[in-house]
Amino acid sequence: MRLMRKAIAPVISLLLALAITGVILWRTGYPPSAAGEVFIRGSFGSTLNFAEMLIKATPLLVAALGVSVASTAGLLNIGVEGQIYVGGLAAAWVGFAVKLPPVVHVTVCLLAGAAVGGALALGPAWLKVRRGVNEVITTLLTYYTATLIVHYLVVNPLRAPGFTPATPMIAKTARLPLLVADTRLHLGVLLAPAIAAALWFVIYRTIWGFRLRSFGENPIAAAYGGISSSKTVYAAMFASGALAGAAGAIQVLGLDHRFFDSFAPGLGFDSIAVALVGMSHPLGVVVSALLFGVLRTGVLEMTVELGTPKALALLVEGMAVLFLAFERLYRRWLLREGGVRP
Amino acid sequence: MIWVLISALQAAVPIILAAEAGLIAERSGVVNLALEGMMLTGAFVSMLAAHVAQNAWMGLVAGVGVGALLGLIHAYASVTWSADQIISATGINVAAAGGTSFLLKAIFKQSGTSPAVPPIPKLFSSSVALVPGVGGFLANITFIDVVAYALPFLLLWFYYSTPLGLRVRSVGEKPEASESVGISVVRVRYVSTAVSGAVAGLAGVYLVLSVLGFFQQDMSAGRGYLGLVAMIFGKWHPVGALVAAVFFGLTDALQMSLQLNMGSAIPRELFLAMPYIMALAAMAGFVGRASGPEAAGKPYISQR
Repeated sequence: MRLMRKAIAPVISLLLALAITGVILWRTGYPPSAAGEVFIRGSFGSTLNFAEMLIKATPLLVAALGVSVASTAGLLNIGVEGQIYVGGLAAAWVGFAVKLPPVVHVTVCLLAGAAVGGALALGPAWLKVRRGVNEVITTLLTYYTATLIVHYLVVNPLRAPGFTPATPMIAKTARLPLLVADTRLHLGVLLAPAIAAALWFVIYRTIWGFRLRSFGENPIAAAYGGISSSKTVYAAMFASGALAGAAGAIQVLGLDHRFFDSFAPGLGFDSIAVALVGMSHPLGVVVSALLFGVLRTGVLEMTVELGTPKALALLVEGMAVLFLAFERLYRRWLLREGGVRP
Repeated sequence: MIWVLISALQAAVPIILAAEAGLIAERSGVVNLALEGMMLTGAFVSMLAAHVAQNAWMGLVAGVGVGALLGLIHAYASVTWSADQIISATGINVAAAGGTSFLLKAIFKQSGTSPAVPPIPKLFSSSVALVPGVGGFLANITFIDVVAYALPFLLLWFYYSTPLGLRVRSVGEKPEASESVGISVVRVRYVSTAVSGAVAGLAGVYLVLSVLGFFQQDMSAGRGYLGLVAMIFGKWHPVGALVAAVFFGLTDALQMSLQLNMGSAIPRELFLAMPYIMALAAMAGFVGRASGPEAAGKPYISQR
């Protein structure tokens, strides 16, 4: 029952967003029924399509877990995109510039990506603790700065010869192994849900998680209870940035095997939507990452077959998030809950 | 040098409008992180209306109107339904980015840019361009430039010299107290957020109908967020926000001029990152602790 109550807002929001998108498609001259069929086929039409959907959902899930950790502590890390970029580049650099034995190499790459992503998020944490600046603004500023610097590094000093700006290929020892031959399914697809399960355990079954949650629910009460607010902010932001960095690293080590200049545009902003729709609960985020994977793959298939604009996915996401804001309205309508009166 | 200063003043216009828009909402207690999306939607809709009517003034009305409409949606979520204001704003921003580029492709069958639309008439006749030094600048300005530089002073007078302005500020600081003396918190927040949206929409209109003459995908390019940063720099004061916005305009203009004069000696990305790095540095050092209106971002549940 508690789960159902929590799920009401995301379910209604997604359904509303899809319904409105159907109307928009119809009004702009794309038949919605045919579009729906192509959309479903995009993710479930064949084994290969299904694998592609999982591949899309994987970095989205890891980055969204990063957003969730921060929001569990009542913080919004809106700059995940920047942390994903630096994490991906750090992993790629360790992947091509350092020589290490097989299993060790890929592990070190992943940890490097996570460490650099986490370090980038510490700046906003410091500004929040010491200067009282809202983290929404500072994570956004670090995002702009970091992506520009990453762009410079990839186009200039770290660029491999070739037409597209990208780093050299990472060593074979740094790759995440393939799971199924003839697909692009890599180990990251299993790693991501494992991280989600581990995170669930930490947040709901350990003292660190308890501190995070108490601080998120009521920072003042948490402080009276002896929980250090500055330590919590640093820890939450570092964990958040580290997960985002790991998401970038997984994309590089599992899929691209090098860092492309425009390697995952919008991945970070998508992951914010994924985290919000998943109600920032690790298991909810797993479900919502899969849904967004289906959305992305389906929209891509529609672009190929019907010529609908790719931006459709962004429109659905945006509307779903906007409708989430009306959670209390749905509860009042469906559950006759009191509390806030309009 | 004078060229840099003048182009700074012009580059600052959309940032000023965004900063003042953010301030108008936040002074009443509503955080408007959706400025970026409102600006982008205002830009797109003003292009669409100007294109359909072949008239810039229709574009202006539509762009400002759609900004106000988005403001009302944000207010409905955050005031009436006590929503998390960041969630509602993020939704508006993402939907605006997706919706505008979707419609651009669906309506005009082209991605990236729209067809050219009739621009807003300039304030001076084109012969003013012959004036040495500032002529090129004077020839470009429209009434929106004037509005952008007048608005901060108008707001200064409104918030600090009129009874109504004082009431609005009290709602942003202590809504319980305001309500106890008979001020409607809900009405003040609705009107403020709608006006905030309208001003953000005007910033978008400016980009299309005064600067470029067409719509470009993602043309707001972070200026809405930069406006919010300017507002924080300016410590939620209308003229302070103006100064901060002009400062950002200056880094933008410097970036362009240094690029032209120094070529590739210094990486271009460093210049592009300059406004953001300066903003971070200023937050770390210059400005001291930043704190806005006390009730900003907190939903208010009426005690009546």
